Amino acid sequence: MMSSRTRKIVLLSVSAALAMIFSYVESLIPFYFGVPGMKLGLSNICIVVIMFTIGEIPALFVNILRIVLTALLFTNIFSLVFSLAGAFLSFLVMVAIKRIFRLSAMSVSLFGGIAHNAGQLIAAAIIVKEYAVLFYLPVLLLSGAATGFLIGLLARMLIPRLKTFIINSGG
Amino acid sequence: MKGKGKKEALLIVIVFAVLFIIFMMSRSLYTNGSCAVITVDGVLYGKYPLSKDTDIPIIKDNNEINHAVIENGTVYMKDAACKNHICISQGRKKASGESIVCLPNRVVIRIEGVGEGADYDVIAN
Repeated sequence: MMSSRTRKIVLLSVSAALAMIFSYVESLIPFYFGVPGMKLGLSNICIVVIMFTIGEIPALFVNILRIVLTALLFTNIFSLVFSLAGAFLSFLVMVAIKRIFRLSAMSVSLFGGIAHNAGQLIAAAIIVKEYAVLFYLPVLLLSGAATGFLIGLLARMLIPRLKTFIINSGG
Repeated sequence: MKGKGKKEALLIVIVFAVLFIIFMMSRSLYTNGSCAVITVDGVLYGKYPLSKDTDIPIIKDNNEINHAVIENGTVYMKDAACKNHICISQGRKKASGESIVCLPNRVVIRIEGVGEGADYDVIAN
């Protein structure tokens, strides 16, 4: 039987691969509501699940790996910078919500979604040196909350199941 | 545990309510703008009144990187020499404060000022 350690490695690798596929699928769907940067953020489900089953630092690593690989394979250097900014801000917020406020995956995902969009937009404003893009902040915060909420619902179903997968190491 | 779940649900509802109010408030600030201000690399490229239909080729290093068009008081990006064409899909803009951003070419079109059709004009009439 697989050891708990091996199971964690398997879960991390599968999550990283799945997160990449989510990013790719998202880039194919012309999901566009008149606002740049508005996305479903499907890959965040992997990040939230890892955060609650394995740990925060592995979750950050999987997210960075996902962003770098996706940028190299499918998109461009601009999206790399924006995604990293969003990823770091959402990571800090999610850890704060989880550790300090001790809230569930639901809230972690919700605030993570909001922070991800805020981080991306702030990075965009700084890079273009054009603060007019902050005009989109209200709608992006709202959409981040909506997608974060849906991701949270899914994560809440997945986390208990994956926890048993890690613990049942057969030993 | 049950009580905590309820508190969290309440928190989520409050967050959505606050964000929705901010969103609605930002919508209500919409007024038609008077001119389109174009910047390239953060440097002013030109100001164009929205009242006059104009074709604006945006040229950088002797290459036309973007092509903006002003038509019927709205501005849109007609063409762009970039891969994703997000700026073109941003469509027509006319409200003061709105912008069209082409990140690969670092071109920003922002609408400024208060132009025709703004609320106080209607009142003055």
